[in-house]
Amino acid sequence: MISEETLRLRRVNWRIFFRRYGIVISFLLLCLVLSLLSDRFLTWTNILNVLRQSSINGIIAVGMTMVILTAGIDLSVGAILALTCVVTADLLQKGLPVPLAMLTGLALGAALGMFSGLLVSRLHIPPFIATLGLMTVSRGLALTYTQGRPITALPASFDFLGAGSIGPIPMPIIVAGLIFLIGYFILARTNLGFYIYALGDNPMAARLSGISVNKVILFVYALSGFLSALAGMVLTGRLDSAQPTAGYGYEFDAIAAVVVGGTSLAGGEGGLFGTLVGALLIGVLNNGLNLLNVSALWEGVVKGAVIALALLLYRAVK
Amino acid sequence: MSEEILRVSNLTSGYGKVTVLQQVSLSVNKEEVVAVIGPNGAGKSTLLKTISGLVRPISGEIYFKGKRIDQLSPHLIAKEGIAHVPEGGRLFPNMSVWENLLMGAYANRETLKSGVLEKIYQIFPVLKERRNQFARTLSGGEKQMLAIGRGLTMEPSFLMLDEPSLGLAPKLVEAIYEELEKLRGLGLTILLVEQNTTYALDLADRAYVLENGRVVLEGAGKELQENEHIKKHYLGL
Repeated sequence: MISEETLRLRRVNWRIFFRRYGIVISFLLLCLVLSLLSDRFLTWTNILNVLRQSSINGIIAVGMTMVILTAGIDLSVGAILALTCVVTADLLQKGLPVPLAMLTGLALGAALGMFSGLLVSRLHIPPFIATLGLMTVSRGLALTYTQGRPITALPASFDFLGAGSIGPIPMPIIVAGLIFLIGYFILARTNLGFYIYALGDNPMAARLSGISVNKVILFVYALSGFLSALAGMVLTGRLDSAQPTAGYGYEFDAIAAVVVGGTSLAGGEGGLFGTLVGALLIGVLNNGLNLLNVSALWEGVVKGAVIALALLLYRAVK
Repeated sequence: MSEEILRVSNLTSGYGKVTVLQQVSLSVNKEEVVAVIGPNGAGKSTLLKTISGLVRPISGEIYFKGKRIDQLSPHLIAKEGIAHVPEGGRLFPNMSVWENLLMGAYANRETLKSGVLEKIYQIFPVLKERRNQFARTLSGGEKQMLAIGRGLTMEPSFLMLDEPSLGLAPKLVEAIYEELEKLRGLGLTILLVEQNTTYALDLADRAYVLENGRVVLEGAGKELQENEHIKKHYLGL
């Protein structure tokens, strides 16, 4: 006979299972449908293609996950990406050595992120407003800096990050994989990760537990800016061109990946595994729309509907 | 003569342009349990929040063990050894009981090594039984115990409790106060803010009565129980 206790435990376990893996089920279902509809979907080239296309969004989504876990939001990622990549490209064209130009770009990204972190933590400006402002300013700076023109023809050693590959694996996939691993390590294995969850769960209790809340906030926004700059370099390398209009709307793809991946916008709940699946789901979706020749005019509608469906399915089993 | 741990002098505090506390002065000695009682809106919670740094004082001074703390940020004040258990517990609902306790200890890693969790499980055995449950699944009384337990993991020299009886059934209030009596036995210094005057005055060595942001009365706990003003307005006798 099964005791009431085990029954209760089993019920709880199923719930936790779906909470954690419900999105994986949605993802696998989508893959199954696409592989039935198109015989090109499950080929090695196409899989690499999807991974490469998801990698830029994935890199940004790692930072976005941490920001959202603290109950914040970062709308400035796409604009920071644009500003940092035009500055980096310009420095490269002026003859600065590749490592130095990249470091400058990454530092600029981190500094911009830190700026919104300061607005949020010190001046108590809501994250939505602070990063919206930074987004507008950064985009504007990127446009004035270049006078609206793209910067092209960059050193091959710089392009390697976006266009090169190690063995059969393209560099963007390797970079994104590393970033996910590092992010996972920070969230799951360090005090800092624990603080990020605590802050999102209950900011007042976090303060009273002796956590320097301001430093944690500063860190997550700086990291988000840093990763936006990194994603920008991957993108610039791949296109061999830095455009002031690059990264337009990337914030929404990143937020979608995080939220579809089960991280709560209220903070304190979720994690990078979900974000990884969320980013892949969006990547597969984009890929599927191309493979099935869905008209570009309808793409947004189909994409939104499928994301909503995936979330509904996830809620239903949860 | 016992040593003074906390001294608040002429403290005026509030939110923005609204002052809640006016020229409040009080002190807490080592190993003493001091209660602050008063009606809703008297400024009791604001007093604790100002001491722990969540609210910045407008004027006045706060000394902890002789060190001025009223300009420090909350995490530094926590590190000085003041544990503030806020109203309603304020747990981390999406963390397990064990992780909630750990949060208290994370600020000071030395305490983890000293087996502090075992000590807390001894005081609150129910927390050990439920250590792997999400904090949001605990009952009201258990949540309050967990909140106090989390304060204790910091191994504070000074514990501030904000309305530990709030929202609890009478039986649970009694249970919580039994636990507080145990804590006093361990030699902790406690500043207690409470609307449940009967229990608070029973437990406290000394008490302050706060009304409209001012201290209107002070004295030994037993003494105040006999005071006509207290009898009439707080104990309903």
